[in-house]
Amino acid sequence: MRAAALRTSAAGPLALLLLAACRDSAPRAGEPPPGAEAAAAAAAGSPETAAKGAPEGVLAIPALDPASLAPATLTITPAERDSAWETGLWLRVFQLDGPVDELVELMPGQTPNVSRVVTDLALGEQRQDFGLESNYLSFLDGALHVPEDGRYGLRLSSDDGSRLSIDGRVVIDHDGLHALAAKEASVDLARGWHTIAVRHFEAGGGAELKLQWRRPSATEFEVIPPSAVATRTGIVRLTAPGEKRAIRALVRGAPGDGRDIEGVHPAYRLQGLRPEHFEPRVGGLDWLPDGRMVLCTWDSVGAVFLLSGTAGDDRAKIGVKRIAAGLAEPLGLKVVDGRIYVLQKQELTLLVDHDGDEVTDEYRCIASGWEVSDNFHEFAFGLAEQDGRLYANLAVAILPGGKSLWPQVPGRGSVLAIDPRDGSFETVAHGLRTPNGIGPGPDGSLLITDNQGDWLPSSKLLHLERGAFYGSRAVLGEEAAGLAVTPPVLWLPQDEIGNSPSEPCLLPMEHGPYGGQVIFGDVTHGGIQRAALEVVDGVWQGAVFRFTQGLEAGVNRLRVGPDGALYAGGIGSTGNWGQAGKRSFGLERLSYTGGPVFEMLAIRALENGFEVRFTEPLEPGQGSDPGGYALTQWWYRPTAQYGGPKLDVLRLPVKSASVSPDRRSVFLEVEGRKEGHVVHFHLVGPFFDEAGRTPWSTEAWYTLNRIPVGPRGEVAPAPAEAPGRPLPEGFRPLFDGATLTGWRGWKQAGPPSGWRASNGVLERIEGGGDLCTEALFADFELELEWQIAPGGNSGILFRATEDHGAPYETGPEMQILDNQGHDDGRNPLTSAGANYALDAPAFDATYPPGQWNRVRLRVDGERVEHWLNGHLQCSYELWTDPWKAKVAASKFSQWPDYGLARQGRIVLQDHGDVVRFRNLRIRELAPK
Amino acid sequence: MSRTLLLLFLCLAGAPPQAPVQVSPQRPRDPWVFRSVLDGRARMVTVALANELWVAYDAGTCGLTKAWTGGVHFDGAVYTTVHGPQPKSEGAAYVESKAPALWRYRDAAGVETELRPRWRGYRLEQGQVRLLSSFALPGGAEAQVEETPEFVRPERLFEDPTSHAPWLVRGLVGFRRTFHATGLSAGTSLSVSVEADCVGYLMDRLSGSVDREVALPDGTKGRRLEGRLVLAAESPGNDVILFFRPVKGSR
Repeated sequence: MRAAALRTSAAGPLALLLLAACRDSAPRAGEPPPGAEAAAAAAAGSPETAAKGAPEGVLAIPALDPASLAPATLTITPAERDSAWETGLWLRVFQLDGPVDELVELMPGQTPNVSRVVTDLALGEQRQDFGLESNYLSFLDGALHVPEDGRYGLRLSSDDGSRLSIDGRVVIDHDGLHALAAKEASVDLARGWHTIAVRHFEAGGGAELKLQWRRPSATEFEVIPPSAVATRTGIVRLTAPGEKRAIRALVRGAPGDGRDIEGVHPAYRLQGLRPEHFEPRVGGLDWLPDGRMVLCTWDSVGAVFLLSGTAGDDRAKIGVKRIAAGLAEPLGLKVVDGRIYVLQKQELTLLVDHDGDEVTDEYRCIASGWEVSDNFHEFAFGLAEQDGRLYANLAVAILPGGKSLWPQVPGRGSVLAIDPRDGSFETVAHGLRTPNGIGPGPDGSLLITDNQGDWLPSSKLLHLERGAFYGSRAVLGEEAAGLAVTPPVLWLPQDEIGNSPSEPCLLPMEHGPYGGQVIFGDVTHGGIQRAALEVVDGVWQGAVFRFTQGLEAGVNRLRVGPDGALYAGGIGSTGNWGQAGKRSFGLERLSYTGGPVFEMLAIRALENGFEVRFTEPLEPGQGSDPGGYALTQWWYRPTAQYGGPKLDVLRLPVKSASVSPDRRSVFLEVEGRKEGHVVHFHLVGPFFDEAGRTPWSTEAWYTLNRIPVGPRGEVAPAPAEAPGRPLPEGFRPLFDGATLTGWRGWKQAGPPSGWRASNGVLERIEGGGDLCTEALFADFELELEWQIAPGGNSGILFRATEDHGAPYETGPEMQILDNQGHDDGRNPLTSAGANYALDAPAFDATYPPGQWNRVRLRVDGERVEHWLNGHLQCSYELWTDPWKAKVAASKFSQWPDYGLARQGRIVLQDHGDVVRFRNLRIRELAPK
Repeated sequence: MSRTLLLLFLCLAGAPPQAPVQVSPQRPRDPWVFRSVLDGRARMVTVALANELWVAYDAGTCGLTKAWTGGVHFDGAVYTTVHGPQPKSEGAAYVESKAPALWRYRDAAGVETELRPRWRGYRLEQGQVRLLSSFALPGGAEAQVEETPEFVRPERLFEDPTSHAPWLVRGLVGFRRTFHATGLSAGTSLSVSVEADCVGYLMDRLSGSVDREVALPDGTKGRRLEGRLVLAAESPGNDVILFFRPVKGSR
C-alpha cells in the first residue's frame, strides 16, 4: 500500500460498492444471455422503475454461471467434480482507468487483463501473481468444499481492500485503502459445496491477498488448500489489454471548468521536436544567431547540444549534435552575440570552440565566486540577459523532505547579476528558496518564480526589484524577521494553478489577444500558465489563468524562438520534480494559429470591483447574472512550516454584473475585498460567447496587493429579460414559446395535462405523461435548453414510434438529470448527456439545478451525437455490431424494435419531476 | 649510497622523456572530464584518465585533491534520481591531499609571496585536458598556468624501464603532471608544492625537495617526496611523474 493518501481521483470521490453475487464470464452456449436476470428483475420492478425500464442501482455484471453458483444450493457430484470442475479458483484481474481507494464496480462487459486458475490462495505481488502493478481489481470465484458441518473461522488478509462472500452473502468486508492486514469472521457452514467469491483492489505499493480458514476441529488457521476449492473447467478465459472502466460518478465539470484543462490550447499547434532516441531533460535553451537551437541537459552527462531544423515541420529533419559535456547540473543557458554561456551549479561557463568544428574545446570559467556547498538542492537557475549582464538565481540548501537546511552558506536564495566580461557579480535581491526561473516581463522587467516551501505558503511569481527581500529566512534566520517583504506579483495556489513553477517569458505581440502577456511553465503541475499583470499604486499584481496542458513532460524552460513560436523544454525526476504520468524529458514547439478561443483574457482591479475582459464577445444575454460568478478570497501567512493553508477563506458576494456594450468585458461590483489577498474567480453556470463556445477555462486567481483608488466601474441597469437566442441558419422553432402547438401527449390526441407553455418556457409541472412532437423526424439537429429541479430526472427521446408501449421501447434517449442530486448520477451510463444505459459521457458537463443547460442532439442516419453545454458527451453509430452488442447486454434487449426506427417522434420525458425547456429549434437534415 | 647521490641517480636516470606524450588511447568514461560535487566538495573537476587512474581537482583552490583507482560512485538526482546523495570516489587512493597546494611567486629580487590561484576552466586538446588557472601577481600583472594530468606506464616511456631505475618495472601506474606557465617576466617564477608517497618518481626540476623511504599502504617500501615544482620565466615548463603499484583488483 502506498504510504501517502491518494489524491482525489479524476473520476471523483464517489465510488459505488456492489457485492451481492458478483458474476462475470464469457457465457457458454445455452446459458441465459448476460443481462437477462436484470431484465427479468426490471419487468417486475416498481412503476417508477418501469418508466425508466431498469432496476434502481447499478447494472449487474453479466452472469457467470447461474446454474452452478446458485446461492447455498451448490451441488457437485464426484463425477462432475472430476469432469466439469478443476482444482483452484478463477482469478481475473482488471486494470482500472484511474486511481481507486475502495472496491468499485465495473462497467458491464469488461474483459479482464489476466484470467487464469490459481491453486495457491496466498497471492502476492512479489511473485507477480496479479500480473499488474497498480490500480486494479482482482476477482476470485469458484466453489468451496466444506468437509464437515460446523463453525469455521475465515481469515481474509489483503493489501489493499477486499471482501469475501460465501453463498452470495458477505462474510468479511475488509474494504478500503490499507497495508497488509487481516480480518476474521466465524461462519456456520454445512458440509458440501458452497460458492465463494473474493473481490480485492490494489491502489499501489505492495499487493497481497490470502484466504485462510480454521476448521471446527483445528486450532490454527491455514491457507485454504487447493483440494478444497474448485472452479468450472472448460470456460474460455478471455483476456484483453487496456484499461477497464469502473462505475464511478462522473468527474465534475468539463476539462477547464473548475478543474485543470486537458490538451493543448486551441489557438496553438503543438509539435514534438525530439528525433528518436533524443531524450533531453532541458536545463536551458536559446538560439544562435543563425537560428539553430542550443540546449543543455540536466542529466548525468551535463551536455550541450546544437539542434538544426527545429523551426520546420519535419521531425525527421531535426539534426542533433553534442558540442559539450561534463557540466554540473546545468540549469541555465544563454547565447549572447553568438557566445554560449552555461550556468552550472557552481560556475558560469563560456563554451569556446577554437578549431571551428563547433565542439567545445575550452570550458572557460567566467564567474564562480558565489558560495556553494555539497547540498543537492543548491541549484543555480537561469539565465536572463539584460543590459549586458547575465542574471542567475541561487537556490537554498534543503534536507531531503524539503525543510531548509540551517545554517546555509552565505548568499543562497538570491539573484545575481553577473558581468560576463570580468566575472564580477552583485547580489540584486534575496530571500528566495527555489527560484527555478527568471525571464523577461512587461516593460523591460525581469520576473522570477519561486517554489513552495518554508516561508513560502504557496509558489509565487515575483518582480525583480533591486534590494528586494522576498521572504525566505533560510539564510538570515531571525535577522530576516525585521525585513520588509516584497509581495509577489502572483500567488500561485498550490496544486490549483501551480506546484513547481519554472521559467517565465513574454508572449510576442503576434500571439493575438495574448500578445504582451506573461506565461510560465511548471515542472510538477505541468503545462503553461498565463498571467495578465498590472501595476496599481506602484505595486505589481494581476491574474493568472490556465493556458495549456498536453505537453509530453513537466515544463522547465520556456522561450520564444526566432520564429516567434514558443519552445518548451521538459524535465522530470522522482519525488515532486515531475508531472505525474508524463515523461522526464521533452522538447516541443507551440505555434500560434490564431483560432478563436473563448476565455477570460485579463482582470483589472477597480476601486469598486473588477473588470473581467474576455477574448470574444459574450453571447447576447450572457454575463449579467451576478450568480454566474463565484468569487472567493483568502490570504497567506508565511511561516517556518513548509507551505501554508489559505486563511480566512471568504466568499465575496457579487452585487452586480454589468456587461459592456461590445460584450467583451463585464464589470463585477464586489464588496469586502482586502488588500494582500488572493481572489479566486470561477465562472459558474452557462457562459457562451457569441459563436456558442464555452470557456477554455472558467477560473482565474487574482493577487490583490492593492485596491486602487479610482477608476470606478459603472453599474449598468440590469437587462429587462434575456432576449431569446437567435435562430441559427436552417433552423426553425419547435416551440412557439406560448402554446403547445406541435406537441401532444404520447399516444394521445391532445397535450397532456401536466405540461404548460408560457413566456418562452415549456414546462412539466405535474404528472400527465410524456410530451411528444406531432411531426415525425428522421435525420435532424435538435437544439434546446433544459432546466431540471433538484434531484430531477427527465430525458429527450427520438425516433420513438407509437406502435409499441412506452417511448423508450423504441426511442433512444439523451438523459436529463440532476447528476449530483439523483442516484442515477452515480452511474455514468445514466448521467445527464448519456445515451441512456448504453453510452456514457466522460465528464459531468451540467450546470447546477436552476441553471439552463444547452443541448444539441444530432441524429444523422446511423450516427448520433449528444452535445451538452458545448461539449460532446457521447456519440454512437446505430445498427452497427458494437451497438447491437451493447443493446443485447442492456435492459433494452427485451424490446426487439429498440432503436431501429428510421423516423419517429421527439419525446420530452415525464419522469415525475419538474423540468423546463426553452429555445427548442430543429433543422432537418437530408436523409441518408 | 648517500642521499645526494641517490637523488642524483634518480634525477639523472629518471628525467621524464621529451618524446611525444604517450596518451591513453581511450578514457574509461564519457565525458571523461566532468564537473560535480565529489566527496563532499562542491567545485570538483574529475578527470578519468584511465581505469587505473582517476584524478580530481578542487576548482576552488585549483589544487589536486586525489588520485586513485576505482572510479566514482555516481549517486544523486541526475544519476540515480535519489534526492540527497552526491558522487563519491571509490577505490584505493594513490594521493590524497587534505590541504590545498601552496603556490608561491618569486620576484626578480628573490622575494617570495604566497599566491592563490584563480580557476579559469579547462581546455581539451589533442586528447588531453589542460586545467587552467591564473595568478594576480604583485604589481598587477597576471600569469597563467596550465596543468596537464596524464596516465603513463613505464614501458610506454622507455623500452627497458628498469635499465633506467630498478624500481621502474613494467605495469606501474604513472601519474604525470605537466605544468606550463605564461606571463612571467624575466627572473620571476611560480612554484607549487608537490607531495606524494610513491614507488618512485621521475622529475625535471624540483626545488627544496625532500625524499625519504617510507612504508607504502601495501607494506612495501617506497619514497616520500616533498618538494616544489618550479615554473620559471626562463623555463616555464616542468613536470613530474609519480609511480604507484597497481591496486589488486582494480579495473
